[in-house]
Amino acid sequence: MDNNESTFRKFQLIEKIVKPYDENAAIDLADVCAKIIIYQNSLQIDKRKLAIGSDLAILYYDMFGSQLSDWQQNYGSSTYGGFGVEQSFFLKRPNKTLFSYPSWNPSRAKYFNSESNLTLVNGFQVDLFEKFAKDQSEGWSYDVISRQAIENGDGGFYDFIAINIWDIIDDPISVLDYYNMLEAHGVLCINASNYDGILLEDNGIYSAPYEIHQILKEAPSSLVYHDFTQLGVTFVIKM
Amino acid sequence: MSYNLEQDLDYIDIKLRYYQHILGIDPDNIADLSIDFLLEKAISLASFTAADAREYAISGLGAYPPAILFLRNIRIELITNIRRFWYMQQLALGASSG
Repeated sequence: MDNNESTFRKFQLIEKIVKPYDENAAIDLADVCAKIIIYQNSLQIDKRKLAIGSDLAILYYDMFGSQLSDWQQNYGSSTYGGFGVEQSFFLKRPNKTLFSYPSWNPSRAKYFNSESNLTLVNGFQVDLFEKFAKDQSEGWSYDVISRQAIENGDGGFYDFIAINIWDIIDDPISVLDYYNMLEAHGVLCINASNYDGILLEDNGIYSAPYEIHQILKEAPSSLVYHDFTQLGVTFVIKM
Repeated sequence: MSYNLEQDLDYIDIKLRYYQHILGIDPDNIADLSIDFLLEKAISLASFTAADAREYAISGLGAYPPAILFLRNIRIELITNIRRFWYMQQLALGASSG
């Protein structure tokens, strides 16, 4: 065996370790989103352009619930940039995890639930997850905390927190509510932190995502790294 | 534990009331409002549009002044945040009727 082949096999082994989710994650996600679209249609959610704009946060289920494509097959268990979140979780091996978007990523919720004491953030994500994505055979065991508890500092402490930029975008300072829930050496992952690319534009410094990053950099004992590829993931470690 | 509808609705209600205050709308009239009305108020409050930005760009005046860039982003964030909380409210109200 030459060195190249040996290296390749090592990569294959690593890939098996760091990709603990099932191979059908993309198909599962499409199925869940398709069910949610039917549910939303039954509620007659206002989907006029005026009411929703072109907002990914609102159109998520419509995007990923459409018929399967090569794009979705490559999507894996993650939202864009999500591999970084999973690898951070894998490296951290947290005892307690807080997660805010289980219906957008049921496979990740399953992985977090199986490897950690999981807590979900109350909201439509939990409602839709429990209605359409939660497979009862998985042995779920998680708590749910309210956003009010998080804002009041009563949310507890976690080794690992995974949220989306949309959880905090309306009030940038609220990112500290999540940061303050980290245990020492805990990791906070903020997904989609490029915020539709605004952070990468000339005017990015006048945007809420920029403000969020500045707040995090100035937070006590914080170490901040922003991966700008794809939709962006911001990693924050409390030293 | 599982999804708590009451807490969810309370949280969304507080957020929407916050935006109503910004728009100068009486928060007690929330049940009578439409998303059209809220967005019309938001757009009138921050009237610098993407079309304005394009016009400025082709006018040869160079880079946008920071104030214009700031206003543009404030406008985007105001409108999109209202839309999101309105959407969340629809989902929560749907859960309450189901």
